Amino acid sequence: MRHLAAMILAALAGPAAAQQATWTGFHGDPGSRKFSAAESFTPEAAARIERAWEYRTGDVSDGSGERPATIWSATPIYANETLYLGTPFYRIIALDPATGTELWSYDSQSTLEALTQPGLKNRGVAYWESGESGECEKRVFLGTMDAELHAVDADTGQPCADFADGGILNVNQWNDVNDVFPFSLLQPPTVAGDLLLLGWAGADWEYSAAPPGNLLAIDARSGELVWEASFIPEELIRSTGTANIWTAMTVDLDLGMAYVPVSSPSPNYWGGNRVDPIPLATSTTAIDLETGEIAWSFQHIRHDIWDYDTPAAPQLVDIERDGGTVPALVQTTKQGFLFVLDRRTGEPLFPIEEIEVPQSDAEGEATAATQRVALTPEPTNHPFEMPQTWWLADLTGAGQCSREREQYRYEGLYTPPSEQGTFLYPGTAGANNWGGAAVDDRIDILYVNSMRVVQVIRLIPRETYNEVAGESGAEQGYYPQEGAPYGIELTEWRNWLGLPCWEPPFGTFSAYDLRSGERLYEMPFGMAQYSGFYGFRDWGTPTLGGPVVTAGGLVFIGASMDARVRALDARTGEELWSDLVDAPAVANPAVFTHDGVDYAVFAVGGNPILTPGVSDQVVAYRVSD
Amino acid sequence: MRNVYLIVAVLAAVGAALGLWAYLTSTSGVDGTSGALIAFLGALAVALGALVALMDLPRWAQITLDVLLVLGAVLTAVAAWFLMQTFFTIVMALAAIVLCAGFVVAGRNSKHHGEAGA
Repeated sequence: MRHLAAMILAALAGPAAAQQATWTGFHGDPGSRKFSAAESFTPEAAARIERAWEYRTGDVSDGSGERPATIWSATPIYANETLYLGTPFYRIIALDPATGTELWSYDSQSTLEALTQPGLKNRGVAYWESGESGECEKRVFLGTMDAELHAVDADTGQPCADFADGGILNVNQWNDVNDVFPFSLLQPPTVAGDLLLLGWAGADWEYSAAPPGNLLAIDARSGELVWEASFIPEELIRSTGTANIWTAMTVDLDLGMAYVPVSSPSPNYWGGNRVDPIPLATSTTAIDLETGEIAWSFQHIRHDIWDYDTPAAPQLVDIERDGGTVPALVQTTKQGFLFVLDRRTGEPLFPIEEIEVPQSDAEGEATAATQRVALTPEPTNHPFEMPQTWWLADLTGAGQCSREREQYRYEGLYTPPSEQGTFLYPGTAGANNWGGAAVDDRIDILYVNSMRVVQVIRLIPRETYNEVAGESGAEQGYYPQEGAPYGIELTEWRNWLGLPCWEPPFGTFSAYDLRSGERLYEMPFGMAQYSGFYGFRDWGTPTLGGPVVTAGGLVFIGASMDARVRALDARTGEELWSDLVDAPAVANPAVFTHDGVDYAVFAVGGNPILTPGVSDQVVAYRVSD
Repeated sequence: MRNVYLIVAVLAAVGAALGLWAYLTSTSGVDGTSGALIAFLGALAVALGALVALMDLPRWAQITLDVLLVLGAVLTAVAAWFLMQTFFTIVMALAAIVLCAGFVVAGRNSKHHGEAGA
């Protein structure tokens, strides 16, 4: 009832609803709220949602030919009365938002080899404008597989000659420590005033000593490096690496702060080379936009040996509390915890508990004795105990799942990887990933999808690794962790038929009241699909990609493995509308208003973590008259 | 039973066509999946089996084929249902129902003939 009342109040009052709905960044706005002021997308109008147009980029590969498979998660950007897309062939495409007609395109001529990640990945472009008029006063930025940052004029698609070297910045010039792999720019930069905040992606699970993570602040006009922030202590840089930022970031221009989700150090599943603390790894870190100095940092995991990178930009929300307003942020995590922090200081707004965690028996390992957990708001996926063994998988597998449950090590959350094999729950893709959450800050309610996937991580001693190692891909298989005493094998826990050994639901959708920390509802989300066969609705689906909440009260979300895009009732989580698209729509949608018409646009690219399907489809929806 | 087998063959052939469409068409939601391929082959097998059943077969072979046809139609209908292929499910379920109804009617007829003969 309280939620309903709040929604009614929001509908009556909300100044946000009077705003023009734009979508100028990866998560909609600099605060990564994924809130759209579009008002026509209401629960009552859901049945009248129709396709406005469809477009195909042509930039798609299923990996069967010479080109690696495409992994396309590009959130479209709506700015300058235009819709901008990045493609997995590293092109920029400008579309008319009303018709989907191509206005111009720009080809970066990037190499189309999977130099770092196992596929041609792209999560879109960034938009910046100076506020003045003239050539290149409005720019679109695209990163490439070979770490070039391209700047083009937003009106014409022509390179901006005053940016770096003729419109192209070579970011690999800053890859000069442990440079065992090149950088890749798969996530667009985050725009903060006249700065471009730039992280990068590398090769996961391959090396112990790898490029140390850093954040590059680039002048949007000149391409010059303004400042650089590092996250690995100087004395450890030669033996470890990463703690990079591969996902989007959040900006509060009023506080002059960037909020940066920092990933885990290398190698990911063994930490004997980095037993000294790395306080900034697997953290949310606040950085002064003026100086690049670290203002505060909140570490989510000490000595991370589970690859539980901080995966998404935090959502900014001003929470009403004790008659006042607290500027806060909400950090979703792979573990499923929602850390709600005062964004001025990093202090938690709900109690954080310290729990003892299991210890490792791996060679040279020194596991942290305790870890911090957030019990309020309730975690998105019940992370402390992995799901029960699923009777259906156990029955059809002739007891295989039960036998394996006894065989592998599991002592709750943060059970260390082991030679005997350890259940990894949540799996390496996490409960939540780059999609993050959406927040309606008129009523302080957070919306988030979450997945429940159980994997098995096995440490393989170096002396036998090369003999047993097989193929890898889609975040499964064998990886060497060169320089460590162990390689790894990572598999999803399934029976011989391919059925998950853990009981459903495999994915859920929840809403939280951020004032009280109370979970308002938790619903199974989407439908799982294996070999084409759909599961029952209450089984839900693993998800990649996040939701958008609209002023009208609908939540738009793709993310599911069943290749549907959906509209949910924000009040209840009930599915009100869906449409079948070509592949899982793992990109966050963009929801905006153009010429008085509200549009929800999905880029449909697929992701092999969910299913093998790929696509180059872009679909726009609106409410019919 | 001849007409029953013919109807089943036609229904299953329609099912096979729908299964093939589902396997090949990107808008089916199951294109290129092993599940759609299995369901298509199941429907095709039922169609061919129904045609074989039209021939004069030894009694043991006829009974075995009848059982396999019912099983095939039911399992293919279930597979089509889990593939969310509504029309495919309906035609295969109809095929199963027609078969079962045909067996019941044929059983009654043979019983009547038996009683009349006595």
